[in-house]
This record gives sequence, C-alpha cells and structure tokens, in this order.
Amino acid sequence: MAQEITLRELPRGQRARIVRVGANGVARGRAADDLEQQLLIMGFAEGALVELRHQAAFGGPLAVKVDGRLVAVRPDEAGEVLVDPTRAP
Amino acid sequence: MTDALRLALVGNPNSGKTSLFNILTGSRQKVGNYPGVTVERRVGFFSAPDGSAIEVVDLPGAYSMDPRSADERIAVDVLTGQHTTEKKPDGIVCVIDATNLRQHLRFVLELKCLGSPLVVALNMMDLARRDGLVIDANRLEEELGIPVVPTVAVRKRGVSDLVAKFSAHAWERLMLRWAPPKADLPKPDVRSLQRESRRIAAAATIHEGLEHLLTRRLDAALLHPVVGPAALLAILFIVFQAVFAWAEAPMGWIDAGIISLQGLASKSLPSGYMESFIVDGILAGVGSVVIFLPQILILFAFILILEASGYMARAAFLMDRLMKVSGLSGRAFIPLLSSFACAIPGIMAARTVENSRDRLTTILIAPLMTCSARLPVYTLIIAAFIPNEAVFLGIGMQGMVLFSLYLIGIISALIVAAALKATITTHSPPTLLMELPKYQVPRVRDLVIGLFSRAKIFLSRAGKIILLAMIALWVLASFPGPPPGANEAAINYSFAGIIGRHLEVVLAPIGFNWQISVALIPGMAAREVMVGALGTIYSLSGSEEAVASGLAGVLKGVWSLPTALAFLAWYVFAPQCLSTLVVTKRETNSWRWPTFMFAYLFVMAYCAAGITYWTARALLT
Repeated sequence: MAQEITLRELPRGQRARIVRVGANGVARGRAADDLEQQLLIMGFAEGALVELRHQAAFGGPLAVKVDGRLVAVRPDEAGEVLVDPTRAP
Repeated sequence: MTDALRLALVGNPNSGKTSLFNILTGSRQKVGNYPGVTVERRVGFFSAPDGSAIEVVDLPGAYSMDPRSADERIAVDVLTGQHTTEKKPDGIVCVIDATNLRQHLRFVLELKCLGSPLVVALNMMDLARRDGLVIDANRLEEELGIPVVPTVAVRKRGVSDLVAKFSAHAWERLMLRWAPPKADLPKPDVRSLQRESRRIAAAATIHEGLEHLLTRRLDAALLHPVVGPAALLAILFIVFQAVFAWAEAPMGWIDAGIISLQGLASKSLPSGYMESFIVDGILAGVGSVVIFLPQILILFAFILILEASGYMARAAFLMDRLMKVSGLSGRAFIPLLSSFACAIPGIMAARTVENSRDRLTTILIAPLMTCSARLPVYTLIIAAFIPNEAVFLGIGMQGMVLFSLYLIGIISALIVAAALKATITTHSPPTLLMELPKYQVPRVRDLVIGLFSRAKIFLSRAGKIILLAMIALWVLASFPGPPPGANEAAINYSFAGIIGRHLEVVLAPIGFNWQISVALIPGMAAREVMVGALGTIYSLSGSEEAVASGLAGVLKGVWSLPTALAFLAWYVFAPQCLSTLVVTKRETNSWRWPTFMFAYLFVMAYCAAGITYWTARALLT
C-alpha cells in the first residue's frame, strides 16, 4: 500500500524511498526550480533511499542519509521531497 | 615545460581529491588565486618514472557541471575551455569516492558529455574494502566506457604506484581504453543521469558494504540535539584557549625580538628621520603583523583539523538554527569563528559561503567579532577604570566587562546581519543543503601543506598592506616636526596632530578629548597600535608593557569614567583597521563594500560611544 509523506514528516530512523522531488509549493518560480535542481544534485532524486538520522534542536536542520551520503537540509527544504516508507527494503 | 601533459583533477567535494593532489605533487605545488575571484588556484608538477614532467591542476570541488558557487564556476569554465587564463587541460582525472558510487558516478557521466579524455580515479578503496564493499573495477570501466584506476590508500607506500598510473606513457595506454563520444551528446537532465549512475553502480557492485561505523557512532553523539551543542561549545572553548594561551609565549618572543631589533637599529643609526623611519615605521609595522602570526597559525591549524576530520560541516549543522535568526546559514559560522582571532582570515574564509549575498553579509559583519587586536586596548582601559572586585561567586567585575564587550559584538553582528538581509543583501531564504562527510583522521601531510599555504597568503596579503599603512601613518605622525622649544609630544605638531584636533570637533560630543582623537589616526593601522599611540601622546616611552602599565595610571587621572566607557563602546564597533578594509576590497572586488563597511561601523561606533557617554554621565552625576 503506497503512502506518500514529505521527508520532514518521516520519523527518525525510518527508511523510505523518494517518489517525487520539488513542486510541493514551499518556494515558487525560479527559486523553486533552483531548489529542486540543488536537491537533485545532492542526491535527492526519485528512487533514492533515504533515512532521517538526526534533527537539530529548536526546529533546526535535519541530517538525512540519502544513498551513501549524509546531507544536512532545513525542514522547509525537506518539505519539497515526497517519500514512501512502504517502498523501503 | 610547455609540452608537459596537463591533467586536471576534478571531483565532488570530499572525494579525497586534494589528498591525492598533495601526494602526487608533494611540495612541488603553487597556490595562488584565479584573477578577479577569490578561488584558490592550485597547480603542481610531478615527474613520471620516465622523467617527463606532468602538470596537475587541482580544480575546486564541484557537485555538477551546473555551477552554483564561484568555486564550481571556475571548475566548469576550465573544463569546458572557457576560462580566460587557465588553458583547457589535456586530460581530466575525475576522483570519485568508491563508497558512494551511486552519487559520484553522476558527475562522471556529466563529464563524459564534454568529450575530453577522461579517467576515473576510484578513490578511498581502502575505506571501501574495510567496510566490506567489493567493486568490480573492470565492469565499471566497461559500463562507463572510461578507464578506471583504483587508487588505494593515499599513503606514502602508494606514491610510486600512483605516479606510475598517471605518467605520460601510462596516460597514453589509458587513453587506448577510452572511447571518445561519437558526436556532441545532448546534455541529459539530472534525473536521467541519476538513474543511469544508479544502474551502473548496481552493476559494478559485487558486494554492498556496511556503512562507515565510526561516522555513525560519532554522529550519534556529535549531532545529538543536546550532546552535540555541548560538544561544540567544548571544542570552541579548547580552540579559544589554544589561540590565546598557547600563542602567548611565541608572541612574547616575537615582541622581544622586534624590540631588540629596534634597540639595535636606534643604537647603530644616527638619530633623525632615518632612524625613526626604520624603528617606528618599518620595524613597528612588520612587528604589528608578525606578532599575530602565532595566533593565526594556531587558529588555522585547528580549522584545518576540524575541516579535514569532517567536523566543520557538523559545526555548521549545529549552528544553522541560530544563524537562521539573522537570515544566514550555518555555513557563515566558520568565517565568523576565525574572525575572533583576526577579521582578515575570517573575511578570506567567507569564500566557503556558497551564496554570494550571504557571503557579502558575512564579510560585512566579520569585523564585529572581537578580534585579538582589540584585547590590548580592552585590557588597558579595563585595568585602569574597572575595579578589580568580585561581583558574585568569584566572578570578577573586570572579567564581566570583557565578556560583555565580546557579547555585545556578537549580538550586534546578528542584528546587523538581519538588517542587511532585510535591505541590501535580500534574496530568497538561503538553503543549507550541505554534505556531512565521513569522519577521517586528518593526514599530517595535508595539514602541513594547508597551514603553510594559508600562512603565506596571510603574510603576503596582510603584511604588505599593514606595512604600507604603517609607513603612511608614520609619515603623518612625524611631519612636520615640532618647532624649536616645543614642550608637547612631537606627534601633536604633526599632520596626525592637526587632523586629530579637527576630529575632536566631531568626537567631543561623545566624550573624546583631543588626545584620543589624535591617537585614533595611527590607530587606524591596527587596533592595538592605539595603546602605543596614546603612550606617545602622553609622553611616555619604553616597552609596550611599561607603556601600558604606566598609561593605566595616567589615564585614570585624566579621563573621566564616562569617557573611558565611551572609548570601550567605540572599540566594539570602530572600523579601526585599514587591513580589514583592504582585504574586503580584494574579496568583493570593489571599493563600494569597504566604503559601506567603514561608514556603517563608524556610525555604530559613534552612536554606541555617544549613548554610553551620556548615559554614564547622567547616572554618575
């Protein structure tokens, strides 16, 4: 049963597969395209395996394992990434 | 060496590219700057076993051929042959991290589209093997259509193997395995490259490795929401302790050395302008730069260790929430930290901030971090005017004042950054998106090379500027000489004295007397010079310590407490450092921003001193 949530809603330690990047409406226009491109370049692409590892205090950034790379993202940026926890191995 | 084979090393940041460069070239490397931008240009040579020289350019790390930062722009321009001064290389060596094939291969595929001769250096194979990862390099080569050279353990015993692999002859053999693309390929989008690299990685991986265990364990503590910040504080405390305590002895030796040189010069030279020029101009000028070298070297060493170990990105991660308050990202933390020793390396370190507007904001607020040159001034005034009493629990009043001066600087920096972001450096909120690399034990070779090249850049940049400024200020403070029979200090009759007396009109409302106004002129060279200048004006002479201890007594008699407090407040903000302004000009490539920096700092210093002076007067009378 497919289940789509944003990366920022993923519980800590839970693995998931990325189903969609960008177009979630947090940023618009050029900024949104830019953010989407940057996310893709850092490895947040459809099909990649992610796991939320750490979250800094007071709504600070998240440390996300995406394939072999640990990446720091702000919660807003993580909101642009849709993941499906049921599709993780 | 025009015929030397020219190779370019490229790769994602944290692929071990620079270590590879250092091991290949050793000391045969030059670090400079690309013209017009502040990106380091690193070029080196090595000799192949057949004696031919190979030139290697270590291009800045890049994640893709779609540049986001000044660093990436350089790498892309050089690789595509669009750079104005750097020739297009004969061949590209793309360094990739064997433990993260899926992502690093995407960049290889992007480079492949360029059509230049390309070899992949499959790096960190030792780490991969230890984690149980098995890669079929032949299969990888087959899938990519590009020669793949596993580079195992970049340590001493691997050097000759490595050099042999990139010799001219070996390069030709490698090129036999390289198939140039048939035509200019259309540049595929990131998503399809990502899919393709994932497919190739899966095909070439025989056995998946386990994750780097040390990194996982360390991060469990160091990125913990409570333990993490505590550890960061502890590390910062150690760094500060080291910068100030360990540097004390060598700074004393340098000081003593300069003083004895000055003594020697004044003994052997006939007294007059020549003697004064050498003693007070050149030697004092050189001394004022070199004295900070121990502190700056210690600071650089810590920053290099923290960077090479992988911790620096974690520090940025932990500080991001706080920096976000003022509209900056955690990346700005490192340059601001350096600024506590000296704003010059801090401003130079701001190049690690990706976004150009964030970088500008960081540069503009760097002088608000209390640099160590302010300490001699602070300690002088605090010793003279703040009673040495315990406030509570053994915390002294003097220490409290010093601490609050640091704190005021930090808080003001955050406020100014927020104001700048809201007005002139506005743009969409910055992204953090930053890799947290695997932890590694820093290699001594990389540290030594890094420390040496950074120290050289600091000395050549700051040194020249400070020396020139000191000479200019010496001229201002020495000419014209005092009239015969003058009974005041010579400086009072000089240009500096004349300017200072004019400045007094402006500075009197904030409680500054003409002596302070005059001393501010030579104090422009460097903040701590103010102590010596005040000494000269109040007709004292002798070593810096003697001047300082004598001066404290004198100042206590002639300055009112509101004036002293206003003077401290002035120093939190005052743009009293020509070198900072000149380095800012270099880094921003125009006089516009240093002018702005000077103006805003002056206004803040003036207001802070004024408010302090009038408040203190109102409270004390």
